[in-house]
Amino acid sequence: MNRYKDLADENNIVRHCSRQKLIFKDGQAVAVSPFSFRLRPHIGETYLSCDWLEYFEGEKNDQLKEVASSLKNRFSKIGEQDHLAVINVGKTRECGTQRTIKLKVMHTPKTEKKSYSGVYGMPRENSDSILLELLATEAVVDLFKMDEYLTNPI
Amino acid sequence: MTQFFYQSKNDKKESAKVGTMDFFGTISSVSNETKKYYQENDWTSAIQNSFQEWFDEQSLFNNKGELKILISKIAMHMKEDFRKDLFVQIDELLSEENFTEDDNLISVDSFAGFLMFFGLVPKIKTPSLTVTHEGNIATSWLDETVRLHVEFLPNRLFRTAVSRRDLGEKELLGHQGSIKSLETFLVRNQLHKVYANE
Repeated sequence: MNRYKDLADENNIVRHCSRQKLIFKDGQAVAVSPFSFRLRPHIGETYLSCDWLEYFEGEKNDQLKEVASSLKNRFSKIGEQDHLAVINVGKTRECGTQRTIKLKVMHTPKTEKKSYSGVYGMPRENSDSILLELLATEAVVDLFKMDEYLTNPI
Repeated sequence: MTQFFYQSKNDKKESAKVGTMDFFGTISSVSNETKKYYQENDWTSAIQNSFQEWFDEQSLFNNKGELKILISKIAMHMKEDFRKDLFVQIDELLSEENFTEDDNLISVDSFAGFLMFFGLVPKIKTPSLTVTHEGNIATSWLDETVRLHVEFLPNRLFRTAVSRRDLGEKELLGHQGSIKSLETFLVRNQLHKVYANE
C-alpha cells in the first residue's frame, strides 16, 4: 500500500520562510517573495517541502504550534523574523492549472517528520516566474510570525 | 595556522579563549586552562561548533561590509533616508539572529546590478529586499493593485515577476533581460508609479 497520499483541496500546508524570503513593509512581513518558491537545484531539490497543517488535531492555533515545534526540532536554528506561510492545497493546484502544469500536493511522512509533505511537479529549471508569483499571491492564504507559536520563544 | 577564538555555546559568560588550529582542524597549541576546560567538556563538538559560528559570523560581517562599501561609492547620489533604509535591510538580511540554514550570503555581483539600476533610475522608491536561493538580491515594490518583483542576476541581467489587478482582471508578466533595458520594460508596462517617485 502506498503510504503517500494526495491532500484534499480544502487542506493547507505550511512553509517555513526566513527573513530573506519575506517582503517587509513598515517593519512588518506582508508577503512571501515569489522567488522563495523556487527549487534549489544545487541541493538536488525536486519538490517544495512543507508540512500538512491538518495532520495535527485541534484549533488552527494549536495546529500552528505543532508545526512550529516540529520545524524547530528539525532546523538547527530558527531566526527571530521567521514566519509560517499557510498555503491552501486547492489553490496551489489551481495555480499550476493556470500555467498548464500539474502540481501534486502530497503527504509524505518520514519517521521523525509525521506531517512532512511536498509540492511536486514544479518546473526543474525554475523558469516560470509567473507560476511563482501566482503561488505567492493566490495560494498563500496567511502569514504568521513563527516565534509567537513556539512554546519557548526565541 | 589559523588563530581562532572559541567560547562555550551554552555559557556566554565564559571568556573567549585563543588557540591555534592547523589546516586540518587539529589543535596544536592551547593553554593549560583551555585543555582543562575541554577535558571537562565535549571539546571536539564544542570547538567545531564554535569554529563554525565564528566562520559564519565573519562571513556575514564581511558580506555586509562588501555591500555597504558598494553603496557608499554612490551614496552622494542617494537621499539619506534611502541609503539608511538599504543599510538597515542589509543588516537584517545578514544578521546572526535572522540568518538560518536556508539562507545565503548576498552576491556582490547581483547587488552591483541593483545599484546599476539605481544609477539609471535614481528616483526609485525604497524597495523591500529579499534574497534568492542563489544568493541574488531581489527587490519588491507593492501597492494596492500591483506587485513588482525584480531579481538582479549576475552579469547585469534581471528577471521580473509582476502581478496587477485592474478592474477585477488579473494580469501577470514575467520577463528577463539586460538591466539597461529594465526601465524600458517597466515604463512600457506602465509600472513606473509602483517603483518610482514622481
